[in-house]
Amino acid sequence: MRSYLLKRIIFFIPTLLLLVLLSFMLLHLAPGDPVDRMMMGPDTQYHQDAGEMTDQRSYWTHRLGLDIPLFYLSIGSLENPKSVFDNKVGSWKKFVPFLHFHSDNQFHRWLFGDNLSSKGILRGDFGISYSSGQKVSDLISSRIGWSLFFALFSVTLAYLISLPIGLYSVQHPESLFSKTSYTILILLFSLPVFWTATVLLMIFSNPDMFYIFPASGVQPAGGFPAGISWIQKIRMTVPYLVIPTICYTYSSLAFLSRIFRVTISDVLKQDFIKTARAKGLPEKTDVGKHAFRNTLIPVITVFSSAFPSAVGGSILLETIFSIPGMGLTIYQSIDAKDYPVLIAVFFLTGLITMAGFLISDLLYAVADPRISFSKKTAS
Amino acid sequence: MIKNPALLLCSFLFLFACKESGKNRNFDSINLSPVVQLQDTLTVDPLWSKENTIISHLSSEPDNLHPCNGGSSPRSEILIQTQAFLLSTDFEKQTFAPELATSLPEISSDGLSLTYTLRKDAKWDNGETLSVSDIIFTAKAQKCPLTNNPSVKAYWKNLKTIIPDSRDSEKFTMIMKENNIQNMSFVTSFCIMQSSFHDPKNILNNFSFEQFDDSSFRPENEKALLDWAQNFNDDKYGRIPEYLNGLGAYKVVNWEAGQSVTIIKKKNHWTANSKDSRMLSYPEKIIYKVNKDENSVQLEFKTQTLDVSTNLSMGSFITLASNPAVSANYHHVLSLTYNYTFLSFNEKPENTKRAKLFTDKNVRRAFAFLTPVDNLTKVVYKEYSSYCKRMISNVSPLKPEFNSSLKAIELNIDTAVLMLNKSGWTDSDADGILDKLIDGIKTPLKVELIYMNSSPDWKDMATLIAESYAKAGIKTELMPVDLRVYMEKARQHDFDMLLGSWGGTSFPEDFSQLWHTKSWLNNGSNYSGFGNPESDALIDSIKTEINIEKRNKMIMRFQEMIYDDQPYVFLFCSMRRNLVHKRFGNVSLFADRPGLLLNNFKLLSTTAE
Repeated sequence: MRSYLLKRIIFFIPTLLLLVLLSFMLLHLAPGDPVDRMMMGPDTQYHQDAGEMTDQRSYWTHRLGLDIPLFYLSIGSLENPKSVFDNKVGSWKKFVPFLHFHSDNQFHRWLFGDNLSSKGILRGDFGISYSSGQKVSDLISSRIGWSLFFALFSVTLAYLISLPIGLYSVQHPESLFSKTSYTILILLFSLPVFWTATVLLMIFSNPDMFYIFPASGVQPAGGFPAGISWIQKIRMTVPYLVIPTICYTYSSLAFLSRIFRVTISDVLKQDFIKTARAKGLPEKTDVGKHAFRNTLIPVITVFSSAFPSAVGGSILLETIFSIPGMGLTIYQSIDAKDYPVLIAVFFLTGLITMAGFLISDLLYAVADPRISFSKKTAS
Repeated sequence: MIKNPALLLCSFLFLFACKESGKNRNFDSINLSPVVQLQDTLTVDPLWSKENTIISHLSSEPDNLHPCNGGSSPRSEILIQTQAFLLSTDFEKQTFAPELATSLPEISSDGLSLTYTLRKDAKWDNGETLSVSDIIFTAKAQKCPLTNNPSVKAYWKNLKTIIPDSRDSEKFTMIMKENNIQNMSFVTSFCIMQSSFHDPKNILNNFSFEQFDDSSFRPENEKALLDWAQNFNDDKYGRIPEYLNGLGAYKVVNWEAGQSVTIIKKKNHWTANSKDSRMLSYPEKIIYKVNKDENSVQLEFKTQTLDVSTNLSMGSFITLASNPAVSANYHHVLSLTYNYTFLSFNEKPENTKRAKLFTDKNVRRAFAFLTPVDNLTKVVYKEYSSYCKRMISNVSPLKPEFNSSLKAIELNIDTAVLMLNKSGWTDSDADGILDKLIDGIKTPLKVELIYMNSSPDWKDMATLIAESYAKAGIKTELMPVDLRVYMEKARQHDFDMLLGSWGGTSFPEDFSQLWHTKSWLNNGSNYSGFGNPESDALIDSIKTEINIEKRNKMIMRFQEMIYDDQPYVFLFCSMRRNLVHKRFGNVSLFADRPGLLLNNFKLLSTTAE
């Protein structure tokens, strides 16, 4: 098991590096220039001389290292490292493709730092956001909390609701509840989340209807009053979280209850359950003790997929409810071509996804003793 | 038991689909002047909150609150309250007025020396008095190549040096490199920073203005400067309340990321006894609440969670204005701004693959006759479009230098077609689209119109424009793009036509950025390619002419040039949508950004009988 674990963790490294390299390339291929966005301010469109702006643009492109190659290697011509297709009139060398090596490149600076504003990822520094000037690690840590909370809480809630529904449906497949619940869940699944969120707001945050919950935010405007206890803070926060939690949760109910229903139904048809029933064990023991553990495999698989969404957040819900999460941050970073933030997000998403898969693999072994990652020796 | 669930469902949907009839539109006032004072409400509802706290709506979060590094509009709004400036905007008189200076500067005859005297009563939060060293530090910090202020650094390029007066410790002279009408107005955008707070070791004293202007100077090789800059650029000076230092009457006490920024009035501030209306600070607390979603913003106004907004869409504004409960609690006013919307032609598609469609000014004029400006204002301002002011030239009609002799070009398709025919555009192949031989190639009049995809209003306007052009045999291909692509295409002149908007202020305008030919050559903001030696010379003269009368005459002449050349179809002035709770009085609305001053809002609900 230990060697398996070590092997998987070591495998993270080249995967993450490749992921980050692809991210670098995709970001740079996308149209737009981050320096252009940095140069924009509320007044700059109107007063500055074009020549001076050009100087500033060149300076900042150089200072951010955006004028150096992306990676250690590039394909160019023997004459010009930038392009085989350079139109400059030159010698025969421009027709000869050549692999150029660049010791100073953007990827290298991302790894090792630029000795100016960043120490590099190897020293735990993601750099500084182009748009806010904030350390990327601080930016992400201030936003990931709510995304993590909603992702994990909504998945847990979905499991807690779906499991009994799935179980009941298996045990009473022809009941009115079983049929009605399935229809309702499918209907909920098909509702677009932004529509549902808006409708819920219009019903439950509207003084013309039912004014029960606040319309936006995760806490009172201006923060909590001074000197209140953490329990009071939770009590003040809960009303803000009800509608967003419903929106985060409802769409997965149909899917999960169906998974539970199908899986438990399959397990209950197995021979060992027939044996248990034949032995006269109560149905509660058959299902609770014997069947349930065997249904954990797909449950673990679905649970592990919640981790990447914790980093990605939900831009729609975060915009509608003004939740300071990762989804909106990522969208704004894409809009601003904020490379340091985006690279950090891709890196973290990749890391968390792989960690999630590793955890789920380990949990498989816990749930099902037949699964083993240890090397088997010949007896 | 439900016999017909489908009917029930349909009834349910019908019930929720019904909207208010919108007949009861109660609209306070339309403000058609640059400044308007809202009348204080006579009846104070006892249910209104009596807290002397304003909750103001922001549609986006400030990037940071660093006094030097940053460039978002929300940041500017907040800095007006927490910082102070040498000169500031007198919103009522639409000019600048002294704030930290005792008066407007004495300007030398050549316009290159501006002498200021600092007021003696301005004190920092630690009790230190404002001094000339703070001014010098501010200027050097702004000019230092290592500070992270790319969006504004070019403003400071014209400053040569600052010389303290040897006899008067409050006096100093700014020496500029070139005479420019903005030599005075540019300081209104930059707050003064405390040198002992941001540079306790006086590192910047060891470097001169000349060094910072010298392109051969390598600041990254100066370790002390590098260390200072790394500390100065640190995000703590833009985000953590303890490090947000300023001379303003308010200070930041809380910043909940993505949620709100809270500022409170300082006790015993140096402006406390000021009689100057621009230095009043009535509210005890101002909370800037971030909310990007229009629906929840509307709900927050219905529940009176928000007190003020100038960031509403027209749709939300109309919805709220038509709600009797909202009307009872809020003033809702449309106010004019100096911003305007335009349609730009590409007059010089050189070095691009674009066809030379708009090199002839008669063709551009014909397109102006084809553009349905009145319909476009209806798209944006709906039933309030009649209050919208047309833009006729590049100068706002709100400004005294606006050339009122120029007349708006009204929609006239027949005239447009005649003009196009005269310019050689005819439907030679009877396919319904005009065509012409350009450089020997038969070129159809197919125009690509680029617009930003940030708002449905742009799309609606572009669609209306295309429909109107089609009546004259012009095929318009609409291309929505995001802001980055838009800026790239505009600067690279890779477009036929584009729809856009410019911001403006009441300050003297330097037309170089939008209209000088070097701004086209350098891929600047002269997207259309307008300009010739005569217009360049006029622009250069305008920006150095200090005499207002002479300058205004030149500006009027310049407007005639623009009008004649038609690089744009000028569309309309933007209107700001203001919602202000009636529990506050002493509210004035201004054409200049941010449109209103929260510090002047006086709470009525505790004082009214």
